[in-house]
Amino acid sequence: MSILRTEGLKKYYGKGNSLVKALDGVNLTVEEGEFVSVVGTSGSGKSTLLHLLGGLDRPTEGKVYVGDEDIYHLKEDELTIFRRRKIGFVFQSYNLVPVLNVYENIVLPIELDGAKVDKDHIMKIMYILGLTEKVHSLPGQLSGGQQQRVAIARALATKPAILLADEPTGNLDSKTSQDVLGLMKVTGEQFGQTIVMITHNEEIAQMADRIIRIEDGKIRKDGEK
Amino acid sequence: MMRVKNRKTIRNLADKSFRAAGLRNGIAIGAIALTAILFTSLFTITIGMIESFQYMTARQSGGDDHGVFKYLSQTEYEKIRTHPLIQTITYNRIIADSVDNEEFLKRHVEMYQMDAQARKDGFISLPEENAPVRENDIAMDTNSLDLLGISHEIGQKITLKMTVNGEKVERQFRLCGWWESDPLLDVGFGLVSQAYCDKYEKELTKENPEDPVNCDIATTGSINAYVKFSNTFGIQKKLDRIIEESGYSTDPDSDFYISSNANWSYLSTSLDKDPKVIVGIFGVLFLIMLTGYLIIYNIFQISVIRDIRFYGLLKTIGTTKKQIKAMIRRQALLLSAAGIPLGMFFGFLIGKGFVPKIMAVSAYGLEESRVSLNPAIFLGSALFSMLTVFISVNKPGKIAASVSPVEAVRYSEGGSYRKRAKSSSDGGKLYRMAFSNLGRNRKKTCLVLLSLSLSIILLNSVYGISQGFDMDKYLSTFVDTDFLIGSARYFGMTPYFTGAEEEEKLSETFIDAVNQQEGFEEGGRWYLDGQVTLEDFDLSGLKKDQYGYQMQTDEGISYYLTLDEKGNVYSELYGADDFTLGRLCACDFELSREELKEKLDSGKYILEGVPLDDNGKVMWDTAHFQKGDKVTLVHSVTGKKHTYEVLGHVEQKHWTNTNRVLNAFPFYTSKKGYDLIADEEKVMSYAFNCEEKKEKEMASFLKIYTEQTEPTMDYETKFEKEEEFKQFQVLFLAIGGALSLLIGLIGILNFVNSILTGILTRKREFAMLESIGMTRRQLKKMIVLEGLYYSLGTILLSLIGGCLASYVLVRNLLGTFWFFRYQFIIWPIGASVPVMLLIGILVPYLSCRTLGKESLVDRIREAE
Repeated sequence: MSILRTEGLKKYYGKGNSLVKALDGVNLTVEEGEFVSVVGTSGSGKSTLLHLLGGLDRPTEGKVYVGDEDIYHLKEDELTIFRRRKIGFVFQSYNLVPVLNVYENIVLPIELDGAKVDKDHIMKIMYILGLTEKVHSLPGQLSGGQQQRVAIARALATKPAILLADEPTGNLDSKTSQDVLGLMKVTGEQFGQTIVMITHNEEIAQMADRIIRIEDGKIRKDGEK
Repeated sequence: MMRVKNRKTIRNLADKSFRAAGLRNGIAIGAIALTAILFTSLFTITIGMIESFQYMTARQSGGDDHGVFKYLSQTEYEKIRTHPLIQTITYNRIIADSVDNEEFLKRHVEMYQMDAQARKDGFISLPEENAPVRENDIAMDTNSLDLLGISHEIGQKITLKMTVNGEKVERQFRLCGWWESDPLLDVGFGLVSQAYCDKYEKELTKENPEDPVNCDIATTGSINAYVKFSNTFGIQKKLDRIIEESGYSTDPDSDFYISSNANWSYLSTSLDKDPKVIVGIFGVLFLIMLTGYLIIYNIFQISVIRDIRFYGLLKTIGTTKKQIKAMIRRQALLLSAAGIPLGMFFGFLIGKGFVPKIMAVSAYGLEESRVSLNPAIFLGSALFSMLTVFISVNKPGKIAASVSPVEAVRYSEGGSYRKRAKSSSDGGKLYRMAFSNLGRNRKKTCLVLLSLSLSIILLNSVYGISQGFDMDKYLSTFVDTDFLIGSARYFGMTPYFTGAEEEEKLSETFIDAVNQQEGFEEGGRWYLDGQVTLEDFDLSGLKKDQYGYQMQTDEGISYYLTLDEKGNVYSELYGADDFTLGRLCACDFELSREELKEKLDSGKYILEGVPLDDNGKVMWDTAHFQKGDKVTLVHSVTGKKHTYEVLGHVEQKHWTNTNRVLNAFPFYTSKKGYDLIADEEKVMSYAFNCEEKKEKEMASFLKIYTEQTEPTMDYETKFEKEEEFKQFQVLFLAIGGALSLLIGLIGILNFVNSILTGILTRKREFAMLESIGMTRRQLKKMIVLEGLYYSLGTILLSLIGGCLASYVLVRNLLGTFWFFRYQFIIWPIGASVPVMLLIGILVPYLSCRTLGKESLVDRIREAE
């Protein structure tokens, strides 16, 4: 069953001569539990695709379905709420809140939702990601790899159906990159999550079940390894 | 260092980015203009006050001359006038000892012969063609003519009774001209011609045996020559030099002595030399600079932080620190070029409008003012405004210049977070997160809290103080009853009453007229015989010098005793009607009004008066007798003698029950006791109360009566004093309130800055929060919560500070002020709570608009 589906997804910037077609009619289906990596050169439109998949931006044309929900039918705040319940994000820059400690950063999306924190679940994630000893540390006291692991933990905290990662290892050295990615894969399997990851690193991309290549806003190659 | 021709590029960059910041520029020009307005109005007011003050004192002292040579003979005058130091010299010849017409009792008239220069310097605006020429010509000021009841028409006949060198004469004059009286002078002038002097030369040059060479009393017939020099430095030295170089002496014992004086308006503690005023002006200057600094600094800091990426970019492509600073300075210069002239224009207008108002309520009570377009005003304010602007943009310039290209992207405030771990687990709640955010830049948070609280504390204190001014205490010093009437002499500029002269006394007709007025309740007379002396007073132990015996109180007030030929000390014997007797306040005995009257009426007893200090406390050390002591009073004229026993002491109140001269030996008794020794009824004053509703009518009756029916009489009223008090209170509240408002404004600006920069620098963080699921509503709520914490902190701090300020500062510093009664007042802080809450919500709420419509992706991308 498909969890994520796009129909003729287009995103244009500018007008006339300066018209940029960041995405030009993308049709994509992602099955539940799949680990997909999207590769492409810079400017190919891969980040735009991810943003549109996660409801961070609005498409010029086309639709995005998460499950059966057409997410761009939702209003701004409804979309935000939908996002925090269904989708987890991991960015290249870890984007942690500097005044909150590790635990507080991880449970922030749940707190924002006003839901009850499933402590066992959080502890489990933290255990898997090796953060148990850093519960009370502030982001400023952590290394890059540790910060990215906190970001992943935060993305997983709400038990989202989909995890979207935008160059999650872009700021990390290759050893740490392998570790972090390995953990992402493990947690994805553990919690039955669908992962869509953007990267320009072939080696990293190889760790996914499926690789989608994107060029000039269009899918050039899609398939199992 | 390499020298590169890059100035043009920098200028170009500065101008381009300047144009891009339209809104910032508008606000900054406004702020700079405001600073310039404040500076210009301060300078205008100060310089205007100094000018007005000098002008006034010049007029009060009779001229704006620098000095005077007094009592010159014609030959002396001729010799002195040619001295090269002198720029201008006047010729004022004194024509009479006094002018004795009854109409001039309240306002004296002096007779002179003046040349044109003398008239000009003496502010006498008599047209040249109307100057007296013929021997019976006279020119007078309008007030004097009005007093005589003579219309302002040339050719009117005027008869003046004069004393000339001790001889009474009566002369007929013909009015040849007049000029508008100076309201500041309580003296009139009559001017006569050279021909008059020629005709009566004998009378004018007659030796006056009663007048030893040079005292302050004008020597009729002599000449006063007022001179001006090129500048006002060392006036007395110049005067002395002229005297000596003309062949005369400055030694009073010499036969060739010439007396001279520098004009006191250039010497005395005039405004520009009063240290308090100078400190005050510097204080205000500093405050304005601080206000301007905080406003302009805030604006530039916000704009720099907003454009921090732009500066980072410039650094990346090789712009140096110096160049970035120069760019920002250039922008500041352009903004000043627009803002300062604008501010100076309005500032001058405001200042000019304010000078007369301040002059009117100032201690000097002057009604006229002059403000000139003094270049110092504009030079000074332009200089100070520029200085403020450059100091203000210094730090934002540094921030922009020192940002590293990489950091610029991630710039957020308060780079160093605390190192300690945070053991909480519910920090993700909005209210907790908002609270934590305040800790990011603690210095700034404290500054905002302090400046906001300070203004509220100040407002609270100012209000508390103004309410603490006790009108009753104030009034009780000056008035005892609703009205007090007496002769014009008694209330005059140099008040005195001895009872020896007829015109000092209050007339019975005036008292009758008052008694018949509607609303009159009760009244009583004060009698005073100042010719009563004290027999057998022990003078041993007193200091004696050439002027006589000197007495000194513990407070350091010293005065001379006056003795009559028998060696008795002059004292004052006050007698009181029933009503006024009842107004006396006993210090050391308790008797009802009836008992007191009975005792005093018996003639066996007398009361000694003791003065009060500023705080209303009896100054016991000035009392000469104790209860039970015997005193013998002798009338120095009639020789009547009576011995009394001192029954006790009563409060001697300067403004209500004395002759308003420092009294050495005041005694009080009833009318009967007074009659035992006083030789006749000498009515000093009449105090009375009036129905409250009729007070206004009574006052206007008194005004008309003393102007028309008996112009030698005068009065004082309670509600005029009340008005004086209220005016003072309002002025205090207005100045204090304005100060609080100014500091409040600074506080709010800091607050706005704090919130705005907080939002601008956290743009990326907010975008991330949104991406992980924080809705806009939640974001706004968090920012508003941050603002509310500021408000709550301010309220808390104000409450603590306000209580402390009231208890510690106000009570201790002002508690001893003579008409202050301490009250604990805190409600103005309570009243400011809703205002603070509103600001705390509104500022962040409106600031949220700067979050803008930039899409989430753009904001996230900024970081990538």
